[in-house]
Amino acid sequence: MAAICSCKTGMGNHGQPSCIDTFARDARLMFVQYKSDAGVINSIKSTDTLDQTFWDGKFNNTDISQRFFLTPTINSVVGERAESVKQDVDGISFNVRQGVRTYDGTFYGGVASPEYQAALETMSCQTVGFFIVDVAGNIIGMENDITGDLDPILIQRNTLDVMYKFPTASEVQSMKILFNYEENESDADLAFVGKDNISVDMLTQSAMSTVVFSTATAISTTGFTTTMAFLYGEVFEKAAYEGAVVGDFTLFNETTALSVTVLTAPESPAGTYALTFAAQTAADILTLSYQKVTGQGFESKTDLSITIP
Amino acid sequence: MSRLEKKDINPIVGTYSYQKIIDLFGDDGKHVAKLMGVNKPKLEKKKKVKGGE
Repeated sequence: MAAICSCKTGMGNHGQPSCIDTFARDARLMFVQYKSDAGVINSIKSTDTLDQTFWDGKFNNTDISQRFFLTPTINSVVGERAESVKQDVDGISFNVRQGVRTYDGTFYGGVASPEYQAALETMSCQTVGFFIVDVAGNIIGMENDITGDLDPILIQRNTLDVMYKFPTASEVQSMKILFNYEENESDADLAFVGKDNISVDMLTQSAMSTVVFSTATAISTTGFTTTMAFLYGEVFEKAAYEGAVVGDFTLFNETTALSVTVLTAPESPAGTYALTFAAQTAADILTLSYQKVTGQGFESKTDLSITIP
Repeated sequence: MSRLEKKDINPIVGTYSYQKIIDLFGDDGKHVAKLMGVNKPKLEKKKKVKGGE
């Protein structure tokens, strides 16, 4: 964090360049676990090449502790920092500590669904940070004075609150997200990577999506059928996941502890896949998972269990 | 079931031998091998040995 007042370096100069690049209002947020499981801050480094490959790696990282979770467009952001906490002594108001900064933004329309609320609330017990993507495509975070990296802004744990609001005759459905910045995060450290140094349009990037399997049917020793759908949509008719790639399925024989190659996975009708594989032994238990990490990412969070008849 | 297309087949199948594909896919084996560019191995003709003992 920035030194608020240093007796060693004295006062800072007030001169500024004639033209200063600045960031704009918020458009999207990128949440990330503040530190990876290896204990490293999930920063954007000055040496990183911020191209499509880099962002695909961030949004689809197979290590969830390093994955960036990009939100849809957020509006009505009105986060403010409260006035500093003061102590009045003999009529003198002494500064004790900076006030808390709150983040208050709202998602509107179809993306502000109850299903998305569930996804956001999974962050509530984590130590999470976030970057802001502004309307110009800049990325805002916290400059790390020691490493020079752009760190995520640390969120005060257990302050995340998500509130869904029903649509009305005059308003679309919406969802408000509220949280506090970690108490030691200083506004003086806010910094950004300019869009000119990012070779993709951050406003059109896609986040990883969760897909779920239906119970397997037509099970034989060499295949079975399952459907894949998103978490979103009608309860009995979730939106089908179309275009699954055969090489992105992972099948494992739990009985023999051996992986099983999925040979084919034709899709018919939309979202229904007939998987085939080399013959397995009766009563063996297989588990199926799916993870697509190139381009827009998709993954199954829960494996499908299949018992060979 | 409609006939398999190349996009339905795991690319790793393209590294399998022709015989392995026939064994795995049965009736569809020839079709799959063709889609994946795996050719049936040519049998070497026995050369006639002229003369000799």
